[in-house]
Amino acid sequence: MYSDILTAIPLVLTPTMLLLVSVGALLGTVLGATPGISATLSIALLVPVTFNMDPTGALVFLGGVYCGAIYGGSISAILINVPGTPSAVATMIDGYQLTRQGKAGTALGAAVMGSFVGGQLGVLVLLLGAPLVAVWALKVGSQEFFWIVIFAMTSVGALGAGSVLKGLVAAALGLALGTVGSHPVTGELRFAFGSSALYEGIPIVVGLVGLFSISQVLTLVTEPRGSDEHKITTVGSLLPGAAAVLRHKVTSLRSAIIGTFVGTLPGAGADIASFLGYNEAKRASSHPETFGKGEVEGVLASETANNGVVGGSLIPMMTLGIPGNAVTAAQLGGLLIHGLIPGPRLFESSGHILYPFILSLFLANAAFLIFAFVGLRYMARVVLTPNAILAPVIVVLTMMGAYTFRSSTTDLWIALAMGLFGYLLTIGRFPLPPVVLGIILGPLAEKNIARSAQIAHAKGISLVEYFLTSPISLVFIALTVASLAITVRREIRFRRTGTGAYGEFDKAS
Amino acid sequence: MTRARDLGAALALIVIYVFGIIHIGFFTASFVYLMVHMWQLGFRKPLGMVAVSAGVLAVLYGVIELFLNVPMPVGLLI
Repeated sequence: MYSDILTAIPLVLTPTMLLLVSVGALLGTVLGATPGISATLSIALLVPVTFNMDPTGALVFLGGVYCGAIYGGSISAILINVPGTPSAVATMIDGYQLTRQGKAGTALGAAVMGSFVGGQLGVLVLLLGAPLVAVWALKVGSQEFFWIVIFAMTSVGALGAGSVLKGLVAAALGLALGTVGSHPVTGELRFAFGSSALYEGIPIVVGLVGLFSISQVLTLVTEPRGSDEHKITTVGSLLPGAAAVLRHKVTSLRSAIIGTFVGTLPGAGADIASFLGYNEAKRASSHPETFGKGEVEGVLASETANNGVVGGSLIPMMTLGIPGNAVTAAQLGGLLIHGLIPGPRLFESSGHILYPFILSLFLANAAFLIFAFVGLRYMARVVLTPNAILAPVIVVLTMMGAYTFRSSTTDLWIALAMGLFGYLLTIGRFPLPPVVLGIILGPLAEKNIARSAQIAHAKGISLVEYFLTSPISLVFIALTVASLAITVRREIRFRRTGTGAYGEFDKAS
Repeated sequence: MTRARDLGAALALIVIYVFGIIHIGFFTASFVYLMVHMWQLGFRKPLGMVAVSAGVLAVLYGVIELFLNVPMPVGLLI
């Protein structure tokens, strides 16, 4: 493993890779900072740009976008009290207060430095942890893998939504959409309606970009407009805020660890991590009353945690091919189009691509740090982009991405239909991430059921027995039940008392 | 009722836009669509509208030509 890391270093330090990682981090920061474009949407819109790149370059570019977008969300949270990406909601609490006190620079400095520290720690854990998980993953059999998928789907559905039932319905809808096309083993066609465009299922890039971006456009055009009341104040120096990391070492480290750990869990993304980081910092503080009134430590805690998620969330995605949240699902879309097959063997077969990718994330974090210090005052202007410009531009980018995937005009209609579907789900308060996960993981689960059936048949035991007897299966069945029990209990308590485990987060969702 | 009107307008414009891409070409259709939809949403500075539309399409043209080498649907103009 260490020799793999060493051989990957020169592959990353080439001019092309450095350019790709910088451009990715810059685009990610700008798109992430734009209210209305989430980190997931940033990646979904930029995946098509990578179609013709080699796999390593494509992943390095998208990795830069991921890191940049999660950081970028803090910029608009701090400057205009609107989260650029959902993970920055906790950053608004103290960040915007600081801006109102004329200390925008301090908040922005703490945000970028916190993001950098959290991001680097998360990537370090990824670099050291992923190969170990990958070795374990090789021992996972078909029937066990099926249960892992079920666990991931259940958690993402149950945890990510305001309502457990709606989350699970969304997951089921996603799995149903995942059955479109030929059966992964027998090749039998399902729900293709005679259209050759659907033979291979709903193309993941098209589904992803349609579901997230067209639905977002329809949300944007119906929002009350006029961000005219916001004026960007003078930003000021970032240094005093950046130095806050040194004053609050414990908070930074705690948040980074929370972020990385939360990232590895399916269903809990950067938004939950930033709230946990914030709440823990507030609870541990000797002066919790200053939180919410412009406490630099609050900005730091939230931003460190959400960038810690980046590295953590890539561990299950790379070792098992199971994305735990929407952003990594989009990232996985980037893997799929480059012929990398997600699953337990991904690390074994594609280590030569994955190690340079992981290393490039260190550079991505450094890149957004440098860009922030050099040109934040210019990048900050995008936060005022009116919806009237944003919405039509997103539509054009979506259609370009949907078409270029395989030069099919049918895909334009598929993207539009998925977008409309996504919008209907959104106004019904159903979450979208479980739908995307279902489309990606559905075929994977199906393939493993079919394979298990063959193995069980060959062994001469019943399918039920084969599915229920291995220890790994039992562990994941137990985890699935536990995650359901916990979330249902949380919801019942929330219904009764009106307060939830995540405090502000429950109100936001 | 502006919400319902804006939603209906957006859907209609996007559907017409997709037909436009297929029949009159990606770049022409995109330019017209961007101008009309920005106008509909209340961004009505002529110079700004042209600048945004032309700018976005110039970037996309560069990306498609440099990275993707995918021929976009072409039509009457380009």
